[in-house]
Amino acid sequence: MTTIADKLTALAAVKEAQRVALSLGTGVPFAEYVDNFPSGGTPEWTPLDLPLSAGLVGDYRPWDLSTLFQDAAGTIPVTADGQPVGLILDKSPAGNHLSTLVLAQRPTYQTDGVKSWLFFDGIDDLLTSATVMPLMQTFTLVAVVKTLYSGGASANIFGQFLSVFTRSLALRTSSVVQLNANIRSGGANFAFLSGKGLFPVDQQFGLSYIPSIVVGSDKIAHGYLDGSLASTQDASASIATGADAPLFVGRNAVFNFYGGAVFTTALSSVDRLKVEGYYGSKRWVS
Amino acid sequence: MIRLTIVAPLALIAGANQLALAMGSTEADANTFGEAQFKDADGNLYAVCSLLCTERWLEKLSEPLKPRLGADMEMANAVQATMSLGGLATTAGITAIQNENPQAALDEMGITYNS
Repeated sequence: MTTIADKLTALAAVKEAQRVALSLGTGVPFAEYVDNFPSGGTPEWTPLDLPLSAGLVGDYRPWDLSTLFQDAAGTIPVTADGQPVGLILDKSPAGNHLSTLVLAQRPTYQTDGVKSWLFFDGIDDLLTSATVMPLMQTFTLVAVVKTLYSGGASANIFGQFLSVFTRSLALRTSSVVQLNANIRSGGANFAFLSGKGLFPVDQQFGLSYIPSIVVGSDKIAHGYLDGSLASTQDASASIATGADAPLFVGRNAVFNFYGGAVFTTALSSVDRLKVEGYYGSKRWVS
Repeated sequence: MIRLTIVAPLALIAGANQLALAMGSTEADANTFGEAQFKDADGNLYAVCSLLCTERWLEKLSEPLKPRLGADMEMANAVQATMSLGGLATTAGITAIQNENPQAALDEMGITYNS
């Protein structure tokens, strides 16, 4: 007959075996064994490891089910492929959680068992932060997206947005499929003016990309695609101060969102590449 | 979960939002149908929503409505009476289509972005 003492002894042996396998000290709580060391002993670098001065204000990881809920109040967890997402928690200290109270605006959690993402329907799916923050003057946006369709001529898909006050990754399809930056402070609209393309024009629907936008105090917009500099553009005419605005993901393009981050500073190339690599690994991880 | 895409002609957007409220979970559902950003072949304007719902929710959409969340039931009932499942979008009522692909649903209804 197996006693409770026998079960506890067996459980302790399992825990100890895992601790040894992961090369952990005895002081590490068991609850942290898996989450913090998914690759088997090497702590996984995350954007949270950057210094606070980097200004991480949004860190969204749709593969982390502990951050996804079906309702905006966060009472019904997402547990399976195909469920709607009414709230994705921000992993950054800023707590800019993205949510919607409107049933029809919820994107869909999808997974193939290895990779996970949020599917935005391009009609009305939209998650925004309940809080607003000053319109960013310097910033870095990093996202991993699969562009699927954009029926509109232009669509903002990730970043900071309030009407004509925008710092976002965008997708336009007026004549070609093109990821872009939309930087606007009530006046000139950087992204959708002719000749202002920040990324090459040969993106294709159905493929995934890691676009990054970096704007420093020199007001020059840098577009990076899959880690490489695509182009630089003068954004000084559209980077003025403006109304406070929330963060968001969604709007009028059909796309898969594999994760992304928002920083209020222009990251160094080293740090940007680390951030891109972090989210990118979730796109290709096998 | 099934995906349902619903289009509301410009004149019925306010009523469609009352129907959404009566079928919704929070008062925010009164904002389900936004701007009329879509059009049919004749240039008529529509607002569209696309959502995931259960089979039961879809059934309830055709059943007598119960007052909820302060919805204007007169408007909600009036719009519900115009609803058709499938077919081309029409200015006479709201049209709903069950299709996993929302863009395919728009195609079925003959609706495109008014860009």
